[in-house]
Amino acid sequence: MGKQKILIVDDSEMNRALLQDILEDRYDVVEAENGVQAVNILAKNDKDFWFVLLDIMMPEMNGFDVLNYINKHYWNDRVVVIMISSDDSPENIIRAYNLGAFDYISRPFDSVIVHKRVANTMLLYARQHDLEDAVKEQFYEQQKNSDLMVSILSYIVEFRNGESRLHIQHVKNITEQILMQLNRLTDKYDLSKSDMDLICMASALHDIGKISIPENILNKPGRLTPEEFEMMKTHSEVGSNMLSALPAEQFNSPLVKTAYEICRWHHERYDGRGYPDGLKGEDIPISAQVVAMADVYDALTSERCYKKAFSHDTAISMITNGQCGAFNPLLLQCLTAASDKLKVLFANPDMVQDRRKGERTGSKTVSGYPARRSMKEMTYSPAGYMKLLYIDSLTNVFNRRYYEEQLPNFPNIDAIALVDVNRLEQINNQYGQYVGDTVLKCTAETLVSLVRKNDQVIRYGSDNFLIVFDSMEKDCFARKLAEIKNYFDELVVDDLLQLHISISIGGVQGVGKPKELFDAISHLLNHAKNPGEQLPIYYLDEMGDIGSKI
Amino acid sequence: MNLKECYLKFGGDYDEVVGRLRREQLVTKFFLKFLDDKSFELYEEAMARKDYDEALRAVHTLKGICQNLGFTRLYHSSVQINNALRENDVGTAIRLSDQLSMDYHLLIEAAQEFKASMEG
Repeated sequence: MGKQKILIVDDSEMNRALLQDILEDRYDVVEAENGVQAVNILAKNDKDFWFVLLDIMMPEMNGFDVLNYINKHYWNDRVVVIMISSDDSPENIIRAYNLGAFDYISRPFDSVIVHKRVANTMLLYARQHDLEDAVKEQFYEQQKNSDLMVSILSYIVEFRNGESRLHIQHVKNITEQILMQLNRLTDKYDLSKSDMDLICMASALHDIGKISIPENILNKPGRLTPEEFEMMKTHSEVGSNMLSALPAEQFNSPLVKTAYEICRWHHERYDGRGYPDGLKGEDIPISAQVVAMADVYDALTSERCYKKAFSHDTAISMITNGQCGAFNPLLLQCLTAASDKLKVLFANPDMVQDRRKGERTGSKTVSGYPARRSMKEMTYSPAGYMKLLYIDSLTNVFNRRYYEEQLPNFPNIDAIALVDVNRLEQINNQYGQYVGDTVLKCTAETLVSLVRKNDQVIRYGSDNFLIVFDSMEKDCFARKLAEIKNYFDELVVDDLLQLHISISIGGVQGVGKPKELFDAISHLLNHAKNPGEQLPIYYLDEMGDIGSKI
Repeated sequence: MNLKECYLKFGGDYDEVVGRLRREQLVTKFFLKFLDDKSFELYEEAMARKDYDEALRAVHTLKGICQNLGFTRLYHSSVQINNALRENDVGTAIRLSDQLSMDYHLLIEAAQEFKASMEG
């Protein structure tokens, strides 16, 4: 960091030079011989934090004028003024204080006192700044955490409904767009920025009641029977009841109250023919009205198990024609006004960004989660909640849950390899967890780099990985395992005391026998081995009956 | 002639200024720099053209320098004119100007002598 900048403003060259002499060894001193020069310097360097030693009596623009100018331009948070008072005339000093001067030093200058005054003032400001930053940071952290909790909760609900992956994120974005238009159009609802943020956040919870709906109804690919539809309709009331069952102090928080409105009334209709309460017109809270519209728009433009996706234009005209329920005419206007924006937003889903995170870090996010760097290299990057559920947070490869839940459904699995990282516990004990973690990360990265695009790397246990190979012949499998082994033998983890990663690798291969492959691997995983011992390779095709026994 | 003798000659407080600024080199440097300072000339010129605002500013600056460098005698004559001009009492200011001029030139002569002795 450079030295703190100090601007000395005094019409007497002698006095400036004297102060410069006193201060220049510790500070970056700039001089101005009158007020006009001073404000020019401050205006030109408007990103910098300035300390100003300011004389009062000067030609062109005096010290009071400079203080007024600073106030008028709201520079107070980056410009701190210490007055130089020549005579001890208290009126001038008081007037300067009233105009925002922080302190004063009087002539004749005592070099020690000048130093101390400046240094102490600076310390005080630095502390205040740090405190402000800390408070901001804390606030942001809290916000982020509740955002995250809401996301997790809503993804749990969405998870049961496999076909609406991005639905929640979409509803949130559409809600935001409609609210922006609404605010532009009317002050009727008197929505502040934080009200709007709250509605967007709470919109993620609109379908939590669906947790109570049986999966066969939820994911039924055809029309629901009248009984099933009645069952489906209970989700809005169930969701709101879940929230009202919260302890009073939680229920009374603005987020939960808003979420309650949205859960309960996002299927009401403006004409009073919706459910569960048949509310009409403005009796329906605006939060629920907006989310209801967003929900319908996204349902129309997405593919569902019971329907194909409509185009943006069709969806807009269906809603405005009243084919999809009755809406507040004001909101229909908002939807039309937001139409262009929505079209762009959803024509290319990558453009949907979490607004706040985007602003803060500028990092690109997919459906609300920061893109993981190495996820990009792995071509099988899952989206949204899939990431949350199926990616190991340390190594960014798939986790055990993915292996157990998703892989059995994959066709063409011809081989699976098991990679044990040897001596991991020793490394953790000897060098610390951080080094152990680095070894795991490095192992995962290396494995990903050594396999083909369609092969999948999984962190199965604390110190082992599985590689699931797509369509692979016996010889090719043997070569691949040897290649991986050799590569690791040569590999040195940088910066880490010339640390080698020692792995044991084995596996099983057999075309068209996925079940046997999985069985053989679980046998391998359960088979205790001595440290450093190499693992066997099985070829199911050559083993006949023996293969099915292991 | 050393700096202390010089200060004695024009009525300055050497011990005070060195105590305050902590280093004799610093005092010496600014003392010699005062030879180039134009505040006094500015004052005389402004008085001659009856620009009393400008005169006040000039004598005010001079006063500040005197304070910083411990020029006690010159400080006293400049502070009186400063106060008079601030009250728009031009008559008093004119009356005191001779004294100011005498004190100023006494100091300048001593300073030149000191400078010569340093260079010689």
